[in-house]
Amino acid sequence: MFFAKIGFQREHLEIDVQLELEKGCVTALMGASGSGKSTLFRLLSGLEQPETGEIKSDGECWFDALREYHRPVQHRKVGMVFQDYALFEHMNVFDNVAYGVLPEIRHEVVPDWLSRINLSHKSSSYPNELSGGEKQRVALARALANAPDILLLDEPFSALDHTLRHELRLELQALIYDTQLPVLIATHDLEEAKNLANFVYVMDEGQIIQSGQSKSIFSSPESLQAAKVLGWRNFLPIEHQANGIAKGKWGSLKVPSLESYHAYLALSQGAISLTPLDSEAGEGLTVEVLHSVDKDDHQLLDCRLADGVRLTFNLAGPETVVVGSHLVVFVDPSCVIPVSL
Amino acid sequence: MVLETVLLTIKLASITTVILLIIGVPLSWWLAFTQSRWKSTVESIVAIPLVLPPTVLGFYLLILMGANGFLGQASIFFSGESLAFSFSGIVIASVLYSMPFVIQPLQSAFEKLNYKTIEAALLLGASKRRAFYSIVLPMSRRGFLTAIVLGFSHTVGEFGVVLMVGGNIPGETQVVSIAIYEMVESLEYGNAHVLSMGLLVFSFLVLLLVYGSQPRLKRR
Repeated sequence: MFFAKIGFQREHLEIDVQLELEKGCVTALMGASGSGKSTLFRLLSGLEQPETGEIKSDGECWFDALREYHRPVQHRKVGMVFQDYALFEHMNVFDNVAYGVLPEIRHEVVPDWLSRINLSHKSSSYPNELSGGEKQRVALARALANAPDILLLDEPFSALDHTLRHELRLELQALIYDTQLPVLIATHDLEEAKNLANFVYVMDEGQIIQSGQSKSIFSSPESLQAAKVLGWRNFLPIEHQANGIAKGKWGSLKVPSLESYHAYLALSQGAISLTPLDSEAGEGLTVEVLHSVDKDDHQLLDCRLADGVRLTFNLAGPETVVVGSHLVVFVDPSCVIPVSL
Repeated sequence: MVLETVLLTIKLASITTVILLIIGVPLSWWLAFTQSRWKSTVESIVAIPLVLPPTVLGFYLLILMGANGFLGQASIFFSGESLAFSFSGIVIASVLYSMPFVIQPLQSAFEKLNYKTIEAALLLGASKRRAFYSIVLPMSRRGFLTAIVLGFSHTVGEFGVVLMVGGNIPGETQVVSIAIYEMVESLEYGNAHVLSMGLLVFSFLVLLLVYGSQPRLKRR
């Protein structure tokens, strides 16, 4: 198991994080740009030194602030795949993969990895002769051929198209299963996290603000910021709440799960419709349609409530809504989660 | 005499280039990656020889290297000899005068490096030394080639600073450019023509090497 509890401060960013990574499990580190994901990767790998805390890999100490011990990056065995791959442009594919491998086993290990990533035929090609997907595979093979103790992937699929992402995700899953490494993947891509990760940490301003199994975390955000990172788009600010009824300038809504004080109601996709699902759903909310985008079988509407709060939702069905018109929409209380600030 | 002058010039340019590389690599690296507020000050100092008349630089160096100057006194204390009008003196002057021609191409090459490739090498277990020789050096080879060629050829072609600091002592400080000047003064146009044509061809070949290296590297 990989364990880290670290503190670090740099200019406007203060990192204070504790995380555990299981072998053979993929853990997603989700957060907006600037939330500290890349800095955390640099601290875990040893490219930068934390100020407090400790890092342990399989019981081996990599960093301990109390003992003033910092194992240099070269001796940590971290496999890292960078967002832009950071391939050695002056070396061919074979030499790139071989860089971290001992010379005496290079001629066994490297061809094996090239065959696993289906690039044996590109062994003597240079990075500028490879496609984006091939570069990504080489970067992954280079990180894994070094027999690392942990694999860190920094937004590894962000530069690739949708089909290629899906293909490479499957290949990555197979490689992770084979190697049984603890894997940490930094991403802000929901689909990537949902499909790859077993566990998710949500990071904001250098802190872990929520964590949980990927099966459940996406449907149970605890705070406004976590909800935004986890893909929720619509939020209603609560100004007053009593007896399970939340009120704001936008109107009121009966929410059975509203037991203690919360700052916002987060509305999941599908929570908003033009017809009430429940007779107790309330009077409905009046919105003004600001923008409308026609999709294949639905319209994507961007609307504004009375107090200026924006709601974005899909409207299915044959009716076409005109920009500038006013609608009454209903919110399904079972699709609403109260969240803190 | 001509051969002696040519060999002395080559010796001066070679020593100057080696010293400039030793000083220039760490300084250029610092300039490329530092966020220090002193960066622009250091860059300006390095670039001064580009805009300053060589005679001004030579004049101040002569004062510093003379028997009453700081460098001159230090030299007399350690070696018993003054730096002015000596080979060591013109080496120091050449290093200062040719510095921007080495620092600037190196700094530019380092700034173009993807720093993550160096970090990737360290993560793969490479020492800093190995990362430098296997990643930095080959990835910035054009910058190194330009720095070496320009540093060497600029030293070969310099006149004002060397004349001010070193004078015109055959076998000690008389380099090709000064010899040409003396030959013209004494109306030895034949010898002046041989050396001048030599410098002209040399300069052309140097520029051909610098400009020609770019497409060759791109093709790979």
